[in-house]
Amino acid sequence: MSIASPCISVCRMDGASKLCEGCLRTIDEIASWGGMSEQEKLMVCDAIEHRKVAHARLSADVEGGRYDGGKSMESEAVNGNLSSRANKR
Amino acid sequence: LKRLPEAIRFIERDWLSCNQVLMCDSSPALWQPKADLHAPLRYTLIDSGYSKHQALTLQLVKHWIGSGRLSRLINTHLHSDHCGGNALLAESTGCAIYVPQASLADVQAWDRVALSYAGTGQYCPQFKAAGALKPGDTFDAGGLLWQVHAAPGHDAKSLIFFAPQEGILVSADALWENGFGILFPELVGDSGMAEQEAVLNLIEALDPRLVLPGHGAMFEDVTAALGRARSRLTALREKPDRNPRNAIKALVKFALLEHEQLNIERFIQTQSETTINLASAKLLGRPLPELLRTALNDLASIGAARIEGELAFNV
Repeated sequence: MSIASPCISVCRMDGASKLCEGCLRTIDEIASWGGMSEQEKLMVCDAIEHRKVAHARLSADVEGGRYDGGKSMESEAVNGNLSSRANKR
Repeated sequence: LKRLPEAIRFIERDWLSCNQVLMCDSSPALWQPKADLHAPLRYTLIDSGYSKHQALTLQLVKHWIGSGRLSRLINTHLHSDHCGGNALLAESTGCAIYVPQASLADVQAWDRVALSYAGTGQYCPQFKAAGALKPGDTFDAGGLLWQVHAAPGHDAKSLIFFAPQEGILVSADALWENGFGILFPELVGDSGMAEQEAVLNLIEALDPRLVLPGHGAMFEDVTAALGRARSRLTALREKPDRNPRNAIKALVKFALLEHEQLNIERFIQTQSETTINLASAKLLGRPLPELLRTALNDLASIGAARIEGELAFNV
């Protein structure tokens, strides 16, 4: 059986983060998922896990008035350079 | 490897919105970003998802076609999860919509009962059909000639599309990697099991190398999928309670996906007016409110719903 789609049926793109509010995928990842190899799908799943952490931090920053337009999100998540605050939510 | 021809994109969605098959009809086939440099390219789309997700469906199509032109939208069948994006796509792109011939008069009259929206309590924005396809027809899309076949069972009027040149089948809800759609005709006293069996035999005879289903991932091991589908059909035949119970559960899950949370009492009240659920309850000889509660509890027990007091949440 194939790797299950990360879709959880929310299917709304967030204008600021350019990610789906539900599955945290980019429009390109959603559009391409159906034609991806298993390895490509696993890479998207990994990226989603990183974003979940970054997304939690982003939400905290928005609440704290320090939202930077999502610029720091991707690089920090990929580098694993996460502050302890990131895991709060 | 599950290789699609360059002219075809398979957009996998979920259980509320069906998958889309997008094909570039111009040669050579081009997609974004090159598509923008070679306007006007023409594209054909099969099925459009549920209305709640219509904005994303449009974004996904535009993601691939850029400023190219979506010229045709073809529906396998007209359940709300397969044509809910039709109206927005037609309005936004000017595409011509083609429906199964057997459903054409219902679309023209916008007969919500015949189109199943009244009976399921599901929503579908009204759209206009430019034409129709019937079994035996063929059409060109994505550089391939597609045969139109009847696929009754899940829906009496459903079509499936087969491209013999590449051995690709667009199977709608007649065959998924693991099963097939609820046999709705059986719920209202019509035949669906014999038709479903015939459709599985037809698919076996077509011998596709790759199946693009209406829900779930595309797959190549068609023999295994047919085996699972036949086991499921046997189980449905052996236990007549199973199809109506599955139908209630599927429609409850659909409502959870659509609304994300439900007030259980109010949900039971509104569902009590839907003829499909009432028909299932009649077959099962049980009161519908009890069956709906059982379905919610069953979904909760497998982690597909969460119940907190008077509220049920989608999981």
